[in-house]
Amino acid sequence: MVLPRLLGAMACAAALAFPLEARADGRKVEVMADVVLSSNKGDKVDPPSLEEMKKTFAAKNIRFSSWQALSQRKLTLELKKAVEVPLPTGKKARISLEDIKEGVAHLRVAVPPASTELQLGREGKLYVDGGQHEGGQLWLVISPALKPGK
Amino acid sequence: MALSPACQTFIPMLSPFVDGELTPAERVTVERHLSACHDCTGRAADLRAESGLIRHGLDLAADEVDFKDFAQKVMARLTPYKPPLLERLRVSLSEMFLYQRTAMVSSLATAAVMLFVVGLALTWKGTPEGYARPQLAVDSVTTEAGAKVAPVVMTTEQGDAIIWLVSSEPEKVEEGAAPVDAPAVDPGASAPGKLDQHKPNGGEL
Repeated sequence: MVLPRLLGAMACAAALAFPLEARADGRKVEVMADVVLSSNKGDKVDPPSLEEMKKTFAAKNIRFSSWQALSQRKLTLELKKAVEVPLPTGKKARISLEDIKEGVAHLRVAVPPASTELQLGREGKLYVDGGQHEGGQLWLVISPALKPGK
Repeated sequence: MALSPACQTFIPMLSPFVDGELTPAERVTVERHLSACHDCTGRAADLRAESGLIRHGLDLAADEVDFKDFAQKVMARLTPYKPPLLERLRVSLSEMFLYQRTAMVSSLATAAVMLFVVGLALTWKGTPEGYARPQLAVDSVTTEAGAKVAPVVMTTEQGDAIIWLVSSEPEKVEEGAAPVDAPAVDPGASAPGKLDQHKPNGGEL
């Protein structure tokens, strides 16, 4: 009679553990934060994935010939805890998870002197002016950290 | 002393006679001879005495041996029969289903439910927390008090948003300031959204 009890206990443990894990992740949101420098010096696009950003800006009549990613990081945002992303200008961008309402993450992205409040989505990127740097324009790019297919 | 022919015949039979190993017919023949032959009677008595002594000696020797753990020692020296693994499994399973049928059926049912639940949990690919919206949306953009810039927000159909800070003051060109790359803007094209309404004046860009 030990086996049925053991299996029952394992089933209960699994049933309890799954929602616990889900609850633990409930207050955390992951986003990607890239720092990109655009300029008209040369025509290098590095990495090639920045072609998409180049086209997005071109569609808004903002044309730079060179696009270079300076840093890329995945941020795990916890409620009311700001995460800093250093910019090459010496400034620090602060990204914080303000709230999660009905499954939607509300973020604040502060790149002095501006502060942006946004709702995160499965699609779409936020490009924030990061100031001028080495004769070019810096951009802080906030994008969803989702695995393909989600 | 010469033996009589009858004694020569019966002497070999005396030891089996004493040990009780003769057939009833032989025993009757030997007893008939013993009743008539004094020498052979003496020989039979000697054999009985000798047998008794040997038995007594063996009894004494046996008494000195400790037979307390005899059975255990013998069993320990025997190699137990160990059937093959498959055979043992088959027997175990058949006995479990024979004697604990209810417990086994409920156990298997529980295990099946558990596998289903765990499989479901592992293959679940829901939307990660915080990503319930299909597209990103900008709620507000503010600038610090005293900042001499104004935010320009440009959005796309894909949900992208560009926040560009432009100078809110007339451009001042400082003597000796390094020139900054300005983005090439198509003069004929018009940008949708707020860019049209508050087109960046270029500022230092």
